[in-house]
Amino acid sequence: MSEVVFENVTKIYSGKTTIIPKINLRLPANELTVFVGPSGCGKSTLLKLIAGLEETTDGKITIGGRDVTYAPPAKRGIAMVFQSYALYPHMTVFENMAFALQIAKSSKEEIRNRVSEVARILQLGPLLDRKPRQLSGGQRQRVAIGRALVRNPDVFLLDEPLSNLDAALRVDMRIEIAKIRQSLNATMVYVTHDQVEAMTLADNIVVLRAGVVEQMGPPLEIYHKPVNKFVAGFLGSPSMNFIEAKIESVQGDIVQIGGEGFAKTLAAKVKPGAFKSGDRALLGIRPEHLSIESDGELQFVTSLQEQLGDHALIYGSVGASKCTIKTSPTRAFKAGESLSLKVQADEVHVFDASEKNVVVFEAR
Amino acid sequence: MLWLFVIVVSAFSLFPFYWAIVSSLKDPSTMFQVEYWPSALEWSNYSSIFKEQPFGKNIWNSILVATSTVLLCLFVGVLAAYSLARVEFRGRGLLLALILAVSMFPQVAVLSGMFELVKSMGLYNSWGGLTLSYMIFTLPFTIWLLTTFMRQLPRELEQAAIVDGASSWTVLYRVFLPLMGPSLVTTGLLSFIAAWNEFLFALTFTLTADARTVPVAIGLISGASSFESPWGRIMAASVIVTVPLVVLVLIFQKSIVSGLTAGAVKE
Ligand SMILES: Nc1ncnc2c1ncn2[C@@H]1O[C@H](COP(=O)(O)OP(=O)(O)OP(=O)(O)O)[C@@H](O)[C@H]1O
Ligand SMILES: [Mg+2]
Repeated sequence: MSEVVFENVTKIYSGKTTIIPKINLRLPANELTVFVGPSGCGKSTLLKLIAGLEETTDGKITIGGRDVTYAPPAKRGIAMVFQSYALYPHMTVFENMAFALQIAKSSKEEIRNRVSEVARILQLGPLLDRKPRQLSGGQRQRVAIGRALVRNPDVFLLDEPLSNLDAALRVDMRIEIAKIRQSLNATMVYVTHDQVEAMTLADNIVVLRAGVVEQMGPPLEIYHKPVNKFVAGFLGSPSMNFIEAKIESVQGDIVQIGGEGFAKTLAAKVKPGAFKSGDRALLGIRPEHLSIESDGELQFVTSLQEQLGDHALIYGSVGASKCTIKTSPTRAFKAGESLSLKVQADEVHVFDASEKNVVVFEAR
Repeated sequence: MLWLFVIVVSAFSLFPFYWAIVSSLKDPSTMFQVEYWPSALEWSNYSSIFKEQPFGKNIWNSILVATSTVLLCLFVGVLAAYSLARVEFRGRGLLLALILAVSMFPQVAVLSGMFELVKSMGLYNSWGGLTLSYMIFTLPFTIWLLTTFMRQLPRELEQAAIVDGASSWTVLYRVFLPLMGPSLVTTGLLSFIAAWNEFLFALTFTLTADARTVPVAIGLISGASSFESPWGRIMAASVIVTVPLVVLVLIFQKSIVSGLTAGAVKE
């Protein structure tokens, strides 16, 4: 039961660059938490803070209730898989996996048993005598994971473990990690830029921006109920459409949204007092929640179409805002054609001036 | 065309060495007749250098001094490079610049200071004094080369080892050192050559013929009488002391080339 908790943790590099302003975060025990966020937002830094590879400037980090803020990496019960794999180039696969156990002064017998057990799980048996340079990318990645597993960690940290692999291999490895995860009794923290990895592997996703947690929750909650424009735009591919709009009228907590590119107004339930009539607002709607139907709310002008076999993407605009539609394969459209779009009412998001999502989700 | 160029350059650089071999095999009386091919093989030059002075002892001194210089220099160099490349501390850049600056002083400038130092440590006229003083020119480039090399080792490799529980010492000797083989060979060989050929310190810090190293011994070879030219013997001695260097370079040739280009391209 190794919950990882950040309490008011601050990280300042070389006395001046604040990367993590003040973070409070609770990563549930034995669950897999994925960190996502733009490049440079501090994902790797957070992992290194958990690992103890970077000093915590201020605050407290606990693992399973134990304060590890000042504990050395080896005493934290963690293991880490690095983006570059970081295998020891001069050691064989066996030696790579045995290294930590040798340092911990395990007996030869114990080391052999443990390594071969992990090698069996990861199907590394035939590779044990090879050097890393004699392995393919996928095999190296498996060795890196194996090296971490051998240590039987309470907390398993993975920093973009699949980003160096090609697309097909990435899918295989993703499934493999999902399997390992089921058999492993450890808290996992996983950094990725890949939407699919985040959505499929995570129990919880933490969306970070500039060292600040924007939202934390299960993948589908983040997808369906983003708290602000940043989170809404970050997850989902292609990303959510944001359409400039105006509040035409307010009646209790129901607002009518209209504006340029609207064929008729769109009703939405928002938090009380979020808007008054005439306010500017941003309508958020994902490409997959728009359909080409007559008598829709939006007037869409096409510019480009991509046929992807199982679905099609149509790029264009609504009023002055860019807009993308994801549909089942359709006929080809000419550029500049005008289409009527129907909005799936229960997937509408409305952002106020401070880019907060003010839509009321209760009905969903 | 390129081949012609290669031949000209090799001929130009190898000719003096060839000339030395030819001269060493000549009879002293025919020394100044120009011959491009030794007419008769005359080994007397080689035997006489061992008779007229303790040349064997001199060679032994040189081996001792050069080897100990290399070992000490690599030991200190590796430790220094590790901290300079991997530990963040204030004034690191300044320290590196200072180390480089030390190597820029002409030897003569530090000669008298070094002499006092060696003498006060009781190392005058011994190989220990030479080893110590040679550090002043072998250490700077050793530290620089090794620091540069260590910087190129990926940070994540060190972090992986730390997570695995390795101490700094373990990281250094179980992870870094095995990867640094080529650069250790390169810097070690350069130090060896520098120490082997050094003349000025060796001349100043030794007194007796028994304590001399080879370059000094050669420099002080004189004729049996003032009418006899020692040229043949000087050449013979030079050939003898160059051979070990050539052998060493040939042995380590592969590692030197890979050492000098290591990290030039990403793997
Ligand atoms: N040792 C360091 N000294 C100073 N600044 C650093 C150091 N390490 C990282 N940074 C800075 O901290 C910020 C966050 O870095 P971090 O590696 O955590 O980002 P990240 O979210 O992992 O990005 P990416 O997705 O590109 O991996 C970056 O702006 C980076 O430049
Ligand atoms: Mg990162």
